Amino acid sequence: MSDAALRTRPGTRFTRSRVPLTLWCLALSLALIGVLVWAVGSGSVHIPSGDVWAIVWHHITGSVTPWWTAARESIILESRLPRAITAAAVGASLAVAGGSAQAVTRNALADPYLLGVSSGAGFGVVCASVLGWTAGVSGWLVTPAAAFIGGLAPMAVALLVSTAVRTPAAMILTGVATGQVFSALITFTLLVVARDQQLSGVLHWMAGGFGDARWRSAIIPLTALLTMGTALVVAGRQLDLLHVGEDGARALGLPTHAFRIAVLLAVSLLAGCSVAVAGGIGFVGLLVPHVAAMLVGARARRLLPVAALVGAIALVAADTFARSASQRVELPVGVVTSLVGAPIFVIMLWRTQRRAT
Amino acid sequence: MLKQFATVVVSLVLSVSLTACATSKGASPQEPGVEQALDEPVTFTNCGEQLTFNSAPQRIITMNDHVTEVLLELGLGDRIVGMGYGKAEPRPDLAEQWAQIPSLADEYPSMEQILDANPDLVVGGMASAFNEKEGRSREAFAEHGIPTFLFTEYCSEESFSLDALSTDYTQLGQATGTEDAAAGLVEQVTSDLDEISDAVAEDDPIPTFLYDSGDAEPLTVGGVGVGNLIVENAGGTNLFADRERPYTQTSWEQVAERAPEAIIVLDYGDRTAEQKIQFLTEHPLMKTTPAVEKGRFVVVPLDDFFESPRLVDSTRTIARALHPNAEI
Repeated sequence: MSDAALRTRPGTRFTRSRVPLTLWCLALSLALIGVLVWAVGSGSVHIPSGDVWAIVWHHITGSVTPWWTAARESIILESRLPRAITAAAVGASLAVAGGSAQAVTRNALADPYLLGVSSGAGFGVVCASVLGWTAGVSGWLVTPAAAFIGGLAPMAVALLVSTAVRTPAAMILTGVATGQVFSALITFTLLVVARDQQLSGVLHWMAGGFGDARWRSAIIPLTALLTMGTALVVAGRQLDLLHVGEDGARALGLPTHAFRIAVLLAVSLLAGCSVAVAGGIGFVGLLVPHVAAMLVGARARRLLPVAALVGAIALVAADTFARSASQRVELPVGVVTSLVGAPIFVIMLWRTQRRAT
Repeated sequence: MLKQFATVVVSLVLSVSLTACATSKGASPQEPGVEQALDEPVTFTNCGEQLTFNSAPQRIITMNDHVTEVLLELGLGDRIVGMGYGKAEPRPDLAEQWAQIPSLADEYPSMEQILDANPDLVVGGMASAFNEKEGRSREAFAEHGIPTFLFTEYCSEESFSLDALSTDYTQLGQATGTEDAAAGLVEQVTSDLDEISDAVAEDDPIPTFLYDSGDAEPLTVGGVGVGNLIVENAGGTNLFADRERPYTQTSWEQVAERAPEAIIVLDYGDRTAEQKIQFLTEHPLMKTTPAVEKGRFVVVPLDDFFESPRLVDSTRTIARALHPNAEI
């Protein structure tokens, strides 16, 4: 095969590098560890890195006599560490979900919330807040539960519609429509029904963040990633079949309609688990699969694992930046991902297109 | 053609008279109102707006509960024609007058409701009372010829001091012809506050964290505003006095690092004070603070944390909790 043919595959707009997959995975894993190290050592309180690693070592082996305050130990072990791990799990989930959504809809602009998950989740949280359920001490449980159940509602509607109208576009258009309906309901509830004090809490949640991440919150996205994420990677070969076209895939034995529904459900569940824990974080699910495709090409079994690693790195980095940029205020993570991610993506796109022409 | 001409004339006459009726209905006062002339016109600047009063206002609308209470203390109960909010518990001696004042809305009344009540003075206690987006800006009121007064707690970026409170009450007293009552109120607040701060002056101030609300990020009281003044007078040090806003967001890491020895919980809203205390006690970062270890919590109702005589009550409660050995 000629050089030119190796460099571009039909169906992708991007060239891919010739570095083998395992090397990429190794390099990205090391980068992820590096970013996690940075995350645990940074925050609005400056803790010298010697102390940080002494605390971690002491927690694992118990062989160091503590000279640090209990507050600092708690900051490292109970706040920064679970927060970094949750961010990594959510970033990986969103990236895998986004990549799968783009593959199954063959739309480069699809994101994990394409079935209206984030609007539904947001509405769940708004309702729970307005009814006062999040105020009690079990509020830490109520908010993610409300977000998750709320995220399922648009999915259920889309599923219902797909049983009646059996085209690929129907499910997605329904998702868009229900997403808009829930967005409008959110606005209405916030402006008309909610009282001033509840507004602030809800808006903070919708902007997305890991401020209340504890060890108990890391479990949810980790479980979703391990189950749904693995399932999607395993189904990668079938995802690639869809590129051949509807009739071609069916001729090759793939039940396209059922398969599409299953994938979109998995995507929404992944997105729902992420949103439940982290609020509405945009851009990661949309951009990271494209970055991964630039690195290893568009074949699902190569793309999805790499996307997971890149997504984890990106979100941990964004969250660390968001909380250590200023001593006074923690920026919402969603703002950082958008403001930083978009220009970087435009630059990458421009350079790739220049090379291709 | 004559018929068409007549139709046009009749409809013109009807529409003009209907419009005249509508405008005159809005213009005429609900009650005649007794004009109370002031000895001499009063002019002052309040929060950047210059106000002039030739006669004492007779139809006052108050936008916040603590404003209503202050005006009742000044003896203006029979001149308040409506209030916003209205759900707070008034002081027992003011309860009867409070019950007589109609509450115009659950929160702030709309511009239409306010105009309908035909006030000649609107007094707000928080910046949100004159929210521009909702059409209630001070300029909008000025265009309708209605003077507005805003308590300076929410319009100044400097540290709040008793001088600002004194200026506000004195100006209100001058405008409404109640200078004596205003002077008496200022004197009472100042002397009560001095009494408390003198009693705790000997002891070291206790590092304190004020918790308003917030799960992922806590909302606390900054160095500007009444809250800080209360803590300082009660013998405490506000650990976030370096922030230049009345209320400010911070992070749990910062709070744990600054190690407060006492926590003041502001009581209001859906979550009860007990629930807030339980939340703080179970928070992994807050567990490490001396305040949580010793269970040193002080609960203060948010109603007592505004620019009103009630700030003395909260100062006293906090001082007694921070310095149990002092005689307050």
